[in-house]
Amino acid sequence: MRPDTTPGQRTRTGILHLTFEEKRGKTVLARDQQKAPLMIIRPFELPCGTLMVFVVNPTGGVLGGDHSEIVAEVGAGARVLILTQSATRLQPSPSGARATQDIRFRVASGGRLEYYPERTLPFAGSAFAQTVRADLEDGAELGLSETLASGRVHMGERLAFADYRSRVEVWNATTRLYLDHLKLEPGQHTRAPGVWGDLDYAASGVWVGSGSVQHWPALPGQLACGHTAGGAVWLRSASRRGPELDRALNAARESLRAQVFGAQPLQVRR
Amino acid sequence: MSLPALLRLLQLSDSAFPTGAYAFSDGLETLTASGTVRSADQLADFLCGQLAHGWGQQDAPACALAWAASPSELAELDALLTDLKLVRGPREASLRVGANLRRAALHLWPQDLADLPATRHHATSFGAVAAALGASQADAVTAYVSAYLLGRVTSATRLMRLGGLEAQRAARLAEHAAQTCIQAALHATADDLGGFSPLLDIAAQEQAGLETRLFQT
Repeated sequence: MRPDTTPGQRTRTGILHLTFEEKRGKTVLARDQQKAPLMIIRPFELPCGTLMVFVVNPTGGVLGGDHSEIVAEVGAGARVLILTQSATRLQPSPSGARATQDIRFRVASGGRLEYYPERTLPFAGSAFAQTVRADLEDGAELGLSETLASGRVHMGERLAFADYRSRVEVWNATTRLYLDHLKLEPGQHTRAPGVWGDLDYAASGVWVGSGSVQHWPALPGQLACGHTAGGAVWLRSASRRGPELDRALNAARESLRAQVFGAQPLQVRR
Repeated sequence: MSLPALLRLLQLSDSAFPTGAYAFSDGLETLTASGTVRSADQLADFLCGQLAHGWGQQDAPACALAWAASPSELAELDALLTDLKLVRGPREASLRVGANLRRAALHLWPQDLADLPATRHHATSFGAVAAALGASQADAVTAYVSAYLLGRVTSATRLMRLGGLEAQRAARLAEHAAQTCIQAALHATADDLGGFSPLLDIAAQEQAGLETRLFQT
Protein backbone atom coordinates (compact mmCIF):
# COMPACT_ATOMS: atom_id res chain seq x y z
CA MET A 1 0.00 0.00 0.00
CA ARG A 2 1.48 3.34 -0.97
CA PRO A 3 0.65 6.71 0.53
CA ASP A 4 -1.62 8.71 -1.76
CA THR A 5 0.53 11.82 -1.88
CA THR A 6 1.37 14.19 -4.64
CA PRO A 7 4.96 14.80 -5.85
CA GLY A 8 6.79 17.35 -3.77
CA GLN A 9 4.64 16.88 -0.71
CA ARG A 10 6.69 16.42 2.46
CA THR A 11 5.90 13.09 4.02
CA ARG A 12 7.80 10.57 6.06
CA THR A 13 8.43 6.90 5.55
CA GLY A 14 9.40 5.04 8.69
CA ILE A 15 10.92 1.60 8.35
CA LEU A 16 11.44 -1.06 10.94
CA HIS A 17 12.82 -4.48 10.04
CA LEU A 18 13.44 -6.80 12.96
CA THR A 19 14.77 -10.35 12.98
CA PHE A 20 14.54 -12.40 16.15
CA GLU A 21 16.24 -15.72 16.77
CA GLU A 22 16.63 -18.16 19.57
CA LYS A 23 20.23 -18.58 20.74
CA ARG A 24 21.24 -20.80 23.64
CA GLY A 25 17.70 -20.87 24.97
CA LYS A 26 17.14 -17.11 24.83
CA THR A 27 15.41 -14.93 22.27
CA VAL A 28 17.64 -12.24 20.81
CA LEU A 29 17.19 -9.45 18.31
CA ALA A 30 19.63 -10.74 15.70
CA ARG A 31 19.28 -7.98 13.11
CA ASP A 32 17.45 -4.72 12.83
CA GLN A 33 16.99 -1.85 10.43
CA GLN A 34 15.41 1.34 11.71
CA LYS A 35 14.53 4.47 9.81
CA ALA A 36 12.97 7.43 11.58
CA PRO A 37 10.38 8.17 12.66
CA LEU A 38 10.07 4.48 13.52
CA MET A 39 12.50 3.07 16.07
CA ILE A 40 12.59 0.63 18.94
CA ILE A 41 13.67 0.88 22.54
CA ARG A 42 16.33 -1.67 23.48
CA PRO A 43 14.65 -5.07 23.84
CA PHE A 44 14.52 -6.72 27.21
CA GLU A 45 13.46 -10.08 28.49
CA LEU A 46 10.26 -10.53 30.50
CA PRO A 47 10.15 -12.93 33.48
CA CYS A 48 8.44 -15.51 31.25
CA GLY A 49 11.38 -15.47 28.84
CA THR A 50 9.62 -13.55 26.09
CA LEU A 51 11.69 -10.79 24.52
CA MET A 52 9.79 -7.50 24.46
CA VAL A 53 10.39 -4.50 22.25
CA PHE A 54 8.62 -1.15 22.28
CA VAL A 55 8.07 0.51 18.93
CA VAL A 56 8.45 4.26 19.27
CA ASN A 57 7.42 7.11 17.05
CA PRO A 58 8.90 10.20 18.72
CA THR A 59 6.97 12.66 16.57
CA GLY A 60 3.55 14.06 17.36
CA GLY A 61 1.82 11.25 15.56
CA VAL A 62 1.20 9.89 12.10
CA LEU A 63 0.57 12.62 9.58
CA GLY A 64 -1.55 12.27 6.49
CA GLY A 65 0.70 11.01 3.68
CA ASP A 66 3.12 9.29 6.05
CA HIS A 67 3.96 5.67 5.45
CA SER A 68 5.18 3.12 7.95
CA GLU A 69 6.62 -0.28 7.16
CA ILE A 70 7.19 -2.83 9.87
CA VAL A 71 8.59 -6.27 9.15
CA ALA A 72 9.30 -8.76 11.92
CA GLU A 73 10.68 -12.25 11.44
CA VAL A 74 10.67 -14.69 14.30
CA GLY A 75 12.81 -17.81 14.10
CA ALA A 76 12.15 -21.25 15.52
CA GLY A 77 11.95 -21.27 19.30
CA ALA A 78 11.97 -17.47 19.67
CA ARG A 79 9.30 -15.71 21.79
CA VAL A 80 8.65 -12.08 20.92
CA LEU A 81 6.26 -9.41 22.17
CA ILE A 82 6.01 -6.16 20.21
CA LEU A 83 4.26 -3.23 21.86
CA THR A 84 4.01 0.45 21.07
CA GLN A 85 5.12 2.96 23.65
CA SER A 86 2.04 5.15 23.39
CA ALA A 87 -1.20 5.54 21.52
CA THR A 88 -0.95 6.08 17.79
CA ARG A 89 -2.29 9.54 17.04
CA LEU A 90 -3.53 9.84 13.49
CA GLN A 91 -3.25 13.45 12.41
CA PRO A 92 -4.88 14.83 9.31
CA SER A 93 -2.99 16.48 6.48
CA PRO A 94 -4.08 19.69 4.77
CA SER A 95 -4.28 17.83 1.47
CA GLY A 96 -6.44 15.13 3.00
CA ALA A 97 -3.90 12.45 2.07
CA ARG A 98 -4.24 9.14 3.83
CA ALA A 99 -1.54 7.81 6.15
CA THR A 100 -0.62 4.22 5.44
CA GLN A 101 1.03 1.39 7.30
CA ASP A 102 2.12 -2.04 6.12
CA ILE A 103 3.03 -4.68 8.66
CA ARG A 104 4.46 -8.07 7.74
CA PHE A 105 5.16 -10.86 10.18
CA ARG A 106 6.80 -14.17 9.48
CA VAL A 107 6.96 -16.77 12.22
CA ALA A 108 8.87 -20.04 11.93
CA SER A 109 7.71 -23.34 13.35
CA GLY A 110 8.06 -23.26 17.11
CA GLY A 111 8.28 -19.47 17.21
CA ARG A 112 5.79 -17.11 18.81
CA LEU A 113 5.06 -13.50 17.96
CA GLU A 114 2.64 -11.27 19.82
CA TYR A 115 1.74 -7.76 18.74
CA TYR A 116 -0.42 -5.68 21.04
CA PRO A 117 -0.08 -2.02 20.11
CA GLU A 118 -1.59 0.76 22.17
CA ARG A 119 -4.82 2.39 21.08
CA THR A 120 -5.25 4.16 17.76
CA LEU A 121 -6.72 7.67 18.06
CA PRO A 122 -7.99 9.04 14.76
CA PHE A 123 -8.11 12.84 14.99
CA ALA A 124 -10.69 14.91 13.16
CA GLY A 125 -10.12 14.83 9.43
CA SER A 126 -7.60 11.99 9.51
CA ALA A 127 -7.56 9.09 7.08
CA PHE A 128 -5.62 5.92 7.65
CA ALA A 129 -5.22 2.55 5.95
CA GLN A 130 -3.11 -0.34 7.10
CA THR A 131 -2.50 -3.89 6.05
CA VAL A 132 -1.23 -6.53 8.42
CA ARG A 133 -0.20 -9.90 7.09
CA ALA A 134 1.24 -12.71 9.15
CA ASP A 135 2.64 -15.84 7.54
CA LEU A 136 2.98 -18.72 9.94
CA GLU A 137 4.77 -21.99 9.46
CA ASP A 138 3.17 -25.11 10.91
CA GLY A 139 3.53 -24.97 14.67
CA ALA A 140 4.07 -21.21 14.81
CA GLU A 141 2.07 -19.10 17.27
CA LEU A 142 0.61 -15.64 16.86
CA GLY A 143 -1.30 -13.21 19.06
CA LEU A 144 -2.48 -9.85 17.81
CA SER A 145 -4.94 -7.29 19.09
CA GLU A 146 -5.75 -3.72 18.23
CA THR A 147 -7.97 -1.10 19.78
CA LEU A 148 -9.60 1.88 18.15
CA ALA A 149 -11.12 4.98 19.73
CA SER A 150 -13.82 7.06 18.10
CA GLY A 151 -11.49 10.06 18.33
CA ARG A 152 -10.09 12.31 21.05
CA VAL A 153 -12.92 11.35 23.32
CA HIS A 154 -11.62 13.25 26.37
CA MET A 155 -11.86 16.43 24.28
CA GLY A 156 -15.34 15.62 23.09
CA GLU A 157 -14.13 14.85 19.58
CA ARG A 158 -15.87 11.74 18.34
CA LEU A 159 -16.32 10.15 14.91
CA ALA A 160 -14.81 13.20 13.21
CA PHE A 161 -12.16 11.29 11.26
CA ALA A 162 -12.52 10.82 7.51
CA ASP A 163 -11.96 7.10 7.32
CA TYR A 164 -10.11 4.21 8.93
CA ARG A 165 -9.22 0.91 7.32
CA SER A 166 -7.36 -2.04 8.72
CA ARG A 167 -7.04 -5.32 6.86
CA VAL A 168 -5.53 -8.12 8.89
CA GLU A 169 -4.74 -11.52 7.39
CA VAL A 170 -3.10 -14.57 8.89
CA TRP A 171 -1.88 -17.34 6.64
CA ASN A 172 -0.45 -20.81 7.04
CA ALA A 173 1.12 -21.59 3.64
CA THR A 174 -1.80 -21.26 1.22
CA THR A 175 -4.52 -21.46 3.86
CA ARG A 176 -5.95 -18.23 5.22
CA LEU A 177 -6.66 -18.71 8.90
CA TYR A 178 -8.07 -15.27 9.60
CA LEU A 179 -9.25 -12.24 7.69
CA ASP A 180 -10.67 -9.10 9.18
CA HIS A 181 -11.26 -6.01 7.10
CA LEU A 182 -12.31 -3.21 9.39
CA LYS A 183 -13.42 -0.23 7.35
CA LEU A 184 -15.17 2.66 8.92
CA GLU A 185 -16.22 5.92 7.36
CA PRO A 186 -18.19 7.64 10.11
CA GLY A 187 -21.66 8.75 9.14
CA GLN A 188 -25.15 9.24 10.45
CA HIS A 189 -25.62 5.50 11.07
CA THR A 190 -22.38 4.74 12.92
CA ARG A 191 -24.20 5.14 16.25
CA ALA A 192 -26.85 2.60 15.24
CA PRO A 193 -27.53 -0.39 17.49
CA GLY A 194 -25.39 -3.27 16.26
CA VAL A 195 -22.70 -0.94 14.94
CA TRP A 196 -21.07 1.17 17.68
CA GLY A 197 -24.15 2.35 19.58
CA ASP A 198 -23.17 5.00 22.12
CA LEU A 199 -19.75 3.43 22.71
CA ASP A 200 -16.39 4.95 21.82
CA TYR A 201 -13.86 2.12 21.98
CA ALA A 202 -13.54 -1.13 20.06
CA ALA A 203 -11.03 -3.94 19.97
CA SER A 204 -10.34 -6.87 17.72
CA GLY A 205 -7.83 -9.65 17.91
CA VAL A 206 -6.65 -13.03 16.68
CA TRP A 207 -4.73 -15.88 18.26
CA VAL A 208 -3.27 -18.93 16.54
CA GLY A 209 -1.69 -21.83 18.39
CA SER A 210 -1.99 -25.53 19.05
CA GLY A 211 -4.02 -25.35 22.27
CA SER A 212 -7.79 -25.63 22.31
CA VAL A 213 -10.06 -23.12 24.01
CA GLN A 214 -12.35 -24.64 26.64
CA HIS A 215 -13.36 -21.44 28.40
CA TRP A 216 -14.34 -18.71 26.00
CA PRO A 217 -13.86 -15.23 27.43
CA ALA A 218 -17.13 -13.31 27.21
CA LEU A 219 -18.82 -10.23 28.64
CA PRO A 220 -22.47 -9.78 27.62
CA GLY A 221 -22.76 -7.00 25.07
CA GLN A 222 -19.08 -6.14 25.44
CA LEU A 223 -16.79 -8.97 24.43
CA ALA A 224 -17.04 -12.20 22.50
CA CYS A 225 -14.65 -14.71 20.95
CA GLY A 226 -14.93 -17.67 18.65
CA HIS A 227 -13.30 -19.71 15.94
CA THR A 228 -12.86 -18.50 12.39
CA ALA A 229 -13.54 -20.86 9.52
CA GLY A 230 -9.77 -21.36 9.31
CA GLY A 231 -9.49 -22.35 12.97
CA ALA A 232 -7.97 -19.16 14.43
CA VAL A 233 -9.48 -17.54 17.53
CA TRP A 234 -11.09 -14.15 16.92
CA LEU A 235 -12.07 -11.52 19.46
CA ARG A 236 -14.40 -8.55 19.34
CA SER A 237 -14.94 -6.05 22.10
CA ALA A 238 -16.56 -2.65 22.50
CA SER A 239 -16.89 -0.33 25.43
CA ARG A 240 -17.92 3.14 26.51
CA ARG A 241 -14.63 3.88 28.28
CA GLY A 242 -11.04 3.13 27.35
CA PRO A 243 -9.90 1.68 30.70
CA GLU A 244 -12.98 -0.54 30.76
CA LEU A 245 -12.08 -1.89 27.32
CA ASP A 246 -8.45 -2.40 28.36
CA ARG A 247 -9.44 -4.41 31.43
CA ALA A 248 -11.78 -6.63 29.44
CA LEU A 249 -9.26 -7.09 26.64
CA ASN A 250 -6.35 -7.83 28.96
CA ALA A 251 -8.33 -10.44 30.86
CA ALA A 252 -9.51 -12.10 27.65
CA ARG A 253 -6.04 -11.94 26.14
CA GLU A 254 -4.40 -13.65 29.10
CA SER A 255 -7.10 -16.31 29.16
CA LEU A 256 -6.63 -17.02 25.46
CA ARG A 257 -2.81 -16.94 25.72
CA ALA A 258 -2.97 -19.51 28.50
CA GLN A 259 -5.30 -21.79 26.55
CA VAL A 260 -3.95 -21.36 23.01
CA PHE A 261 -0.22 -21.07 23.82
CA GLY A 262 -0.05 -22.59 27.29
CA ALA A 263 1.73 -19.32 28.17
CA GLN A 264 2.38 -17.63 31.48
CA PRO A 265 0.80 -14.17 31.93
CA LEU A 266 2.76 -11.27 30.49
CA GLN A 267 4.26 -9.03 33.14
CA VAL A 268 5.00 -5.81 31.36
CA ARG A 269 6.38 -2.78 33.21
CA ARG A 270 6.13 0.51 31.41
CA MET B 1 -35.25 -6.09 -17.80
CA SER B 2 -37.78 -8.29 -19.56
CA LEU B 3 -41.10 -9.08 -17.94
CA PRO B 4 -40.28 -12.81 -17.50
CA ALA B 5 -36.94 -11.94 -15.91
CA LEU B 6 -38.64 -9.50 -13.53
CA LEU B 7 -41.20 -12.11 -12.54
CA ARG B 8 -38.45 -14.61 -11.81
CA LEU B 9 -36.44 -12.10 -9.79
CA LEU B 10 -39.50 -11.23 -7.69
CA GLN B 11 -40.10 -14.92 -7.07
CA LEU B 12 -36.45 -15.54 -6.18
CA SER B 13 -36.40 -12.72 -3.64
CA ASP B 14 -39.81 -13.42 -2.13
CA SER B 15 -39.83 -14.33 1.55
CA ALA B 16 -41.82 -17.46 0.67
CA PHE B 17 -39.04 -18.76 -1.57
CA PRO B 18 -37.84 -21.88 0.28
CA THR B 19 -34.35 -20.83 1.39
CA GLY B 20 -34.93 -21.25 5.11
CA ALA B 21 -33.77 -17.67 5.71
CA TYR B 22 -36.68 -17.18 8.10
CA ALA B 23 -34.80 -19.32 10.65
CA PHE B 24 -31.94 -16.87 11.06
CA SER B 25 -31.74 -13.43 12.63
CA ASP B 26 -27.92 -13.10 12.64
CA GLY B 27 -27.82 -11.46 16.04
CA LEU B 28 -30.97 -9.33 15.91
CA GLU B 29 -32.61 -11.68 18.41
CA THR B 30 -29.87 -10.94 20.97
CA LEU B 31 -30.34 -7.21 20.46
CA THR B 32 -34.09 -7.47 20.96
CA ALA B 33 -33.68 -9.75 23.99
CA SER B 34 -31.34 -7.23 25.62
CA GLY B 35 -33.75 -4.38 24.91
CA THR B 36 -31.29 -2.63 22.60
CA VAL B 37 -33.83 -2.82 19.76
CA ARG B 38 -37.43 -2.59 20.93
CA SER B 39 -39.30 -0.13 18.71
CA ALA B 40 -39.89 0.45 15.03
CA ASP B 41 -37.57 3.47 15.09
CA GLN B 42 -34.78 1.50 16.74
CA LEU B 43 -35.32 -1.30 14.25
CA ALA B 44 -34.98 1.23 11.43
CA ASP B 45 -31.76 2.53 13.02
CA PHE B 46 -30.46 -1.02 13.23
CA LEU B 47 -31.27 -1.66 9.57
CA CYS B 48 -29.65 1.59 8.46
CA GLY B 49 -26.55 0.76 10.50
CA GLN B 50 -26.25 -2.65 8.92
CA LEU B 51 -26.74 -1.29 5.42
CA ALA B 52 -24.11 1.41 5.99
CA HIS B 53 -21.51 -0.48 8.03
CA GLY B 54 -22.28 -4.19 8.31
CA TRP B 55 -24.23 -6.50 6.00
CA GLY B 56 -24.40 -3.82 3.33
CA GLN B 57 -20.61 -3.57 3.18
CA GLN B 58 -20.16 -7.27 2.68
CA ASP B 59 -23.09 -9.24 1.33
CA ALA B 60 -24.60 -6.59 -0.94
CA PRO B 61 -21.33 -5.96 -2.84
CA ALA B 62 -20.67 -9.71 -2.92
CA CYS B 63 -24.04 -10.18 -4.65
CA ALA B 64 -23.20 -7.44 -7.17
CA LEU B 65 -19.80 -8.95 -7.88
CA ALA B 66 -21.24 -12.45 -8.18
CA TRP B 67 -23.68 -11.27 -10.83
CA ALA B 68 -20.77 -10.61 -13.21
CA ALA B 69 -18.27 -13.17 -11.92
CA SER B 70 -16.59 -16.06 -13.69
CA PRO B 71 -16.63 -19.48 -12.01
CA SER B 72 -13.14 -18.94 -10.56
CA GLU B 73 -14.08 -15.46 -9.34
CA LEU B 74 -17.18 -16.90 -7.68
CA ALA B 75 -15.02 -19.44 -5.87
CA GLU B 76 -12.75 -16.63 -4.66
CA LEU B 77 -15.74 -14.56 -3.54
CA ASP B 78 -17.13 -17.49 -1.59
CA ALA B 79 -13.76 -18.07 0.08
CA LEU B 80 -13.56 -14.38 0.93
CA LEU B 81 -17.04 -14.39 2.50
CA THR B 82 -16.27 -17.52 4.49
CA ASP B 83 -13.19 -15.87 5.98
CA LEU B 84 -14.74 -12.44 6.54
CA LYS B 85 -17.71 -13.89 8.40
CA LEU B 86 -15.90 -14.37 11.69
CA VAL B 87 -18.94 -15.44 13.68
CA ARG B 88 -19.86 -19.04 13.10
CA GLY B 89 -23.66 -18.67 13.25
CA PRO B 90 -24.06 -16.09 10.47
CA ARG B 91 -21.32 -17.81 8.45
CA GLU B 92 -23.13 -21.15 8.50
CA ALA B 93 -26.50 -19.49 7.98
CA SER B 94 -25.21 -17.82 4.83
CA LEU B 95 -23.94 -21.16 3.53
CA ARG B 96 -27.18 -22.97 4.34
CA VAL B 97 -29.40 -20.32 2.79
CA GLY B 98 -27.14 -20.23 -0.27
CA ALA B 99 -27.40 -23.99 -0.72
CA ASN B 100 -31.17 -23.93 -0.26
CA LEU B 101 -31.59 -21.10 -2.74
CA ARG B 102 -29.55 -22.95 -5.34
CA ARG B 103 -31.48 -26.15 -4.82
CA ALA B 104 -34.86 -24.46 -5.16
CA ALA B 105 -33.82 -22.38 -8.17
CA LEU B 106 -32.38 -25.38 -9.98
CA HIS B 107 -35.62 -27.25 -9.32
CA LEU B 108 -37.74 -24.42 -10.74
CA TRP B 109 -35.62 -23.35 -13.71
CA PRO B 110 -33.47 -26.36 -14.61
CA GLN B 111 -32.90 -25.34 -18.22
CA ASP B 112 -32.04 -21.70 -17.56
CA LEU B 113 -29.66 -22.69 -14.81
CA ALA B 114 -28.13 -25.72 -16.50
CA ASP B 115 -24.73 -23.99 -16.63
CA LEU B 116 -24.96 -22.27 -13.24
CA PRO B 117 -21.45 -22.16 -11.79
CA ALA B 118 -20.77 -23.41 -8.29
CA THR B 119 -21.63 -21.01 -5.48
CA ARG B 120 -21.82 -21.45 -1.71
CA HIS B 121 -22.96 -18.33 0.13
CA HIS B 122 -26.35 -16.67 -0.08
CA ALA B 123 -24.95 -13.50 -1.67
CA THR B 124 -23.01 -15.28 -4.40
CA SER B 125 -25.80 -17.76 -5.10
CA PHE B 126 -28.39 -15.00 -5.39
CA GLY B 127 -26.20 -12.91 -7.70
CA ALA B 128 -25.28 -15.81 -9.96
CA VAL B 129 -28.84 -17.19 -10.18
CA ALA B 130 -30.32 -13.75 -10.82
CA ALA B 131 -27.83 -13.18 -13.65
CA ALA B 132 -28.62 -16.55 -15.21
CA LEU B 133 -32.35 -15.76 -15.03
CA GLY B 134 -31.85 -12.56 -17.00
CA ALA B 135 -32.07 -9.95 -14.24
CA SER B 136 -29.94 -6.86 -14.62
CA GLN B 137 -27.17 -6.33 -12.08
CA ALA B 138 -28.84 -3.29 -10.54
CA ASP B 139 -32.19 -5.07 -10.28
CA ALA B 140 -30.56 -8.17 -8.80
CA VAL B 141 -28.80 -6.20 -6.07
CA THR B 142 -31.91 -4.12 -5.40
CA ALA B 143 -33.98 -7.28 -4.97
CA TYR B 144 -31.31 -8.79 -2.72
CA VAL B 145 -31.17 -5.73 -0.47
CA SER B 146 -34.96 -5.55 -0.37
CA ALA B 147 -35.15 -9.22 0.62
CA TYR B 148 -32.70 -8.53 3.44
CA LEU B 149 -34.71 -5.60 4.74
CA LEU B 150 -38.07 -7.32 4.55
CA GLY B 151 -36.66 -10.52 6.00
CA ARG B 152 -35.30 -8.68 9.01
CA VAL B 153 -38.47 -6.72 9.70
CA THR B 154 -40.48 -9.93 9.42
CA SER B 155 -38.14 -11.52 11.96
CA ALA B 156 -38.63 -8.49 14.17
CA THR B 157 -42.39 -9.02 14.32
CA ARG B 158 -41.69 -12.39 15.95
CA LEU B 159 -39.11 -10.96 18.33
CA MET B 160 -40.72 -7.71 19.47
CA ARG B 161 -44.07 -6.15 20.17
CA LEU B 162 -44.28 -4.88 16.64
CA GLY B 163 -47.19 -5.02 14.22
CA GLY B 164 -46.82 -5.71 10.55
CA LEU B 165 -47.47 -2.13 9.55
CA GLU B 166 -44.90 -0.74 12.01
CA ALA B 167 -42.37 -3.32 10.80
CA GLN B 168 -42.92 -2.20 7.22
CA ARG B 169 -42.49 1.40 8.36
CA ALA B 170 -39.06 0.47 9.73
CA ALA B 171 -38.12 -0.88 6.31
CA ARG B 172 -39.48 2.28 4.72
CA LEU B 173 -37.32 4.42 7.01
CA ALA B 174 -34.27 2.52 5.77
CA GLU B 175 -35.04 3.33 2.14
CA HIS B 176 -32.38 6.01 1.74
CA ALA B 177 -29.70 3.85 3.40
CA ALA B 178 -30.75 1.01 1.10
CA GLN B 179 -30.32 3.18 -2.00
CA THR B 180 -26.88 4.30 -0.85
CA CYS B 181 -25.93 0.70 -0.12
CA ILE B 182 -27.07 -0.47 -3.57
CA GLN B 183 -25.16 2.27 -5.37
CA ALA B 184 -21.98 1.49 -3.43
CA ALA B 185 -22.38 -2.24 -4.03
CA LEU B 186 -22.64 -1.74 -7.78
CA HIS B 187 -19.25 0.01 -7.81
CA ALA B 188 -17.44 -2.19 -5.30
CA THR B 189 -14.46 -4.45 -5.89
CA ALA B 190 -13.63 -7.58 -3.92
CA ASP B 191 -11.08 -5.55 -1.93
CA ASP B 192 -13.92 -3.37 -0.64
CA LEU B 193 -15.65 -6.19 1.22
CA GLY B 194 -15.40 -5.56 4.94
CA GLY B 195 -17.21 -3.40 7.46
CA PHE B 196 -17.46 -2.37 11.08
CA SER B 197 -20.20 -3.88 13.17
CA PRO B 198 -18.64 -4.97 16.46
CA LEU B 199 -21.82 -4.89 18.52
CA LEU B 200 -23.71 -7.14 16.11
CA ASP B 201 -20.73 -9.51 15.93
CA ILE B 202 -20.81 -9.79 19.71
CA ALA B 203 -24.60 -10.19 19.71
CA ALA B 204 -24.47 -12.87 17.01
CA GLN B 205 -21.89 -14.84 18.98
CA GLU B 206 -24.01 -14.54 22.14
CA GLN B 207 -27.15 -15.75 20.38
CA ALA B 208 -26.33 -19.41 20.89
CA GLY B 209 -26.29 -18.82 24.66
CA LEU B 210 -29.70 -17.17 24.97
CA GLU B 211 -31.91 -19.03 27.43
CA THR B 212 -34.81 -19.09 25.00
CA ARG B 213 -34.54 -18.29 21.35
CA LEU B 214 -36.70 -18.34 18.28
CA PHE B 215 -33.95 -18.23 15.66
CA GLN B 216 -31.01 -20.50 14.97
CA THR B 217 -28.65 -17.52 14.73
